[in-house]
Amino acid sequence: MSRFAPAIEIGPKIQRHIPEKEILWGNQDGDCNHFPVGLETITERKFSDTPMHLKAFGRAVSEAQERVWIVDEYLLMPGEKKRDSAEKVKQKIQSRIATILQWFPLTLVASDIRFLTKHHAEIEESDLEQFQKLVQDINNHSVRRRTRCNIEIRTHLTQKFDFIHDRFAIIDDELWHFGGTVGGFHAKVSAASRGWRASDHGAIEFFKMAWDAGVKK
Amino acid sequence: MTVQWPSERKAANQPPFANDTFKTEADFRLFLDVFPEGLPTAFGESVDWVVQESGDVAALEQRIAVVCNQVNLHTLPDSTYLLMTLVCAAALSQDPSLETWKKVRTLKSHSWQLEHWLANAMVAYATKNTDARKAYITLATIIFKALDNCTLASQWDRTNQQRSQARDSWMECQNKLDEIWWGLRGWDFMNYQEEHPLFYLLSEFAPDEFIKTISESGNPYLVHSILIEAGVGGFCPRFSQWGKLAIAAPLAFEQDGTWNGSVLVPLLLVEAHAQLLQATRDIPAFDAFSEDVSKIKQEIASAIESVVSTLGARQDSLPLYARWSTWLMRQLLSYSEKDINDVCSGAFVDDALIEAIGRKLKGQSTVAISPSDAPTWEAWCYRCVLASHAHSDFINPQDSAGFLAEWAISLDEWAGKKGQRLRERASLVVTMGKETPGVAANLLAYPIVRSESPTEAWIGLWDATQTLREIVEFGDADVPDDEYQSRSEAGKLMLLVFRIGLAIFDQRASQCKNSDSPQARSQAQLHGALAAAIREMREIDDTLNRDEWLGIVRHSAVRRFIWDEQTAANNKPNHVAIFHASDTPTFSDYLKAANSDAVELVALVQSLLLNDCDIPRLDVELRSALIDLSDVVDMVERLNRYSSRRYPMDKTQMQGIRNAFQSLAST
Repeated sequence: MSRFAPAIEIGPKIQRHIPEKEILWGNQDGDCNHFPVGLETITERKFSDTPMHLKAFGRAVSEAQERVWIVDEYLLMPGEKKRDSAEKVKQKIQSRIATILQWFPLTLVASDIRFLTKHHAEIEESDLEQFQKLVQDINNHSVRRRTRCNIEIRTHLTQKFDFIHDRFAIIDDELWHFGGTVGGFHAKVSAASRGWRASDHGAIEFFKMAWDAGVKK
Repeated sequence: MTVQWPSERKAANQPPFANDTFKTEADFRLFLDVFPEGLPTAFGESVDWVVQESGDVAALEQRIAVVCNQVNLHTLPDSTYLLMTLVCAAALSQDPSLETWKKVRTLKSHSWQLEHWLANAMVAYATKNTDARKAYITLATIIFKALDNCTLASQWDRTNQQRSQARDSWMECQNKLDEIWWGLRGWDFMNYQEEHPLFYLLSEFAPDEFIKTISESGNPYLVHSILIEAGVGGFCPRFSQWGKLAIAAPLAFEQDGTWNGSVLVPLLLVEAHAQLLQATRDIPAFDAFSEDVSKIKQEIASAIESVVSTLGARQDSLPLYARWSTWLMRQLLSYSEKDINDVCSGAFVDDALIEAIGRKLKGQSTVAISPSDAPTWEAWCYRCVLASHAHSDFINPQDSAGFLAEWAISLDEWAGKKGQRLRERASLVVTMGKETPGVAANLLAYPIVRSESPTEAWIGLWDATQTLREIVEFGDADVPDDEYQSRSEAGKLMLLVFRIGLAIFDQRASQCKNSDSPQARSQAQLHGALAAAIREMREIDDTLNRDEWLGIVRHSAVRRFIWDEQTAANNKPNHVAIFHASDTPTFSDYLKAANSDAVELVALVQSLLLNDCDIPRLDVELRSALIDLSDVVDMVERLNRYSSRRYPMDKTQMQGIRNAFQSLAST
């Protein structure tokens, strides 16, 4: 195909500064950059009903300027224990969602929030509606907001796109990689790394491909 | 010269890989020559044992050891296994039935030698025994039918499960042709590996019977696996084999482009595409020698010509070209113009194939529109195919009236069939493009450019999309819970409409002789309409599309600057004059609008520098708009110090801007 017209370029989007690469482990104090020390620390977290998330991740989300994209089958579904009753599971889901909601302050600048997860029968519509309520609050909070905030949750992972093992998050231009649940909720010893430039590793295109494999929930 | 796939030629030029553990057909022939008087009686008894009783492979080995003793074969290397494999080959010849095959299959699954040598042993055995040849052809046909109607299961549960899942998903699949184009995602051709030797033989001994047999199957997974074994793809692809099948395969498409469900031809097309793509992967990603690159380009071009010419001999070549090139276009639209010219990119092959197909269409009557069985995405992709052929002067451009009418929808129609069809047809185009205006918008614009009054046509298109803009602004009243989704979706469609307008502008720019010409006046009018469209959309679209519109302002401003009569007067090469200084919006209007946003102003200046703009004239424009660029750069740097996350900055870019204007001051 011959050229239609001379190419007119416009300046590429300016990339944000990416923090230094870092590896973090979840612990009950928030996070640390070394393996947990001592069996007591490990067991305390393992048997906790509410393992503390990575504070650094929550902070990064709250400071996002453009996008928060998360790919994780179990983002909204906490790990169940065999003895957990249905009521207990429900409580855990509520607690997980409440924690995630806290990552998004009303002053959030980012507008493009997307969670790509899988369907869990335990999570009800009313649970997800809390995110839409949050979006309304964020949009109402700032009258001069340039772009309306939007949180979209798609649940077609495994069903329509069953190719992902690890979990990832892209906050603005930074790629986070998680061994366990995004945000560091996993009760067992699990690490996350940050400080990767998403565009250098094709993360944005990959996310879009996974995202476009399904439709809006 | 014999036509070969690039990878086939490459393999042929490499020294043969010798490995004694794999016995060839020649090895077996030599072994058979050890028995000039014929095989010993004990051999026949072993054959009878396999046919009538059989058992585990150890029992067969014991029997073979006895035969070896009888004829004193111990001095010959691997004689036991060679003989054992020949026994199985003879058994299949003696009783070419499903039962015997199952027995041999069990034996070979417990013997590395049988597994890997059986096919060559059968070929060698058949060369010495014409009845064996016929028997193998019969057997392969029986086995194929048994696999096709699922009466022959694999020995392995996992394989049976995968075959069954594939069959189920095929039955449920709505767009079966798409699934073939995608290359039968998730399917492993090794799932029919147990029967591979038979199909190799069938393709070699009875090519016509082979084609007839596989043509009758509607199971693309089975046919695909067999094609690999027959040398159409896989590890030893042969163009000759592909060509024979491509000519002889049954009709797959009706004259209007409808696919009749025959899987063989689409599978062959996918394989040809894979072979061509493979050639691009042989080029090193970095520091490739230009001689190597041009050699590979030539090889690809020659292979493409052979593929398209071979297909041209088919009775259904025109509809086949139409459906295949639509799929190729779908792939192409996800790439940038730069990718299309990059031989390492898949887009290079897709584009070259579409061009080669276009050449064959010269003087032919093409399929006018996508057929009714085609999925919704095909309509506009095929439109792009035809536009591409027209752009290359292979056919006349198609009429735009139907395309333009698709956009005129009422509020009631948005949620109805017409609105849904518009969204579905556009969905690929709006999500795939990475550039502005981009390949898709240029292709969709081309027939409009060739129409009588492109500017009026685009303004008419924009006016016809009033409903879409209402949805962008207020949402869809019928879906109040999902207002954002409707707004965002309609906004994306408006972006496409705009890009088509920008593409019309770009394509017509070179036709303008001077700013007073009727073409230039029409272009100036179009630019005015485009600028008004941007203003409107920036007012009403606060979804995620908003940033796109911001970038589009820069596109429009840069065009206003570089095609101004003053730029042309300054003798900038390739810059024709389109705009009078007074044509609105002027470049100064763009500067004034951006003046309140230092980051945006810097981005605009940077964009102009990227296009090798006339810096002294830019300086004059900035001064007349009372903008001190040095202050603006300072402001951006201050903002970046305040919050580098909120106000990201490229230091090199800032320095580049400073340098450009400092050098101007020093001269």
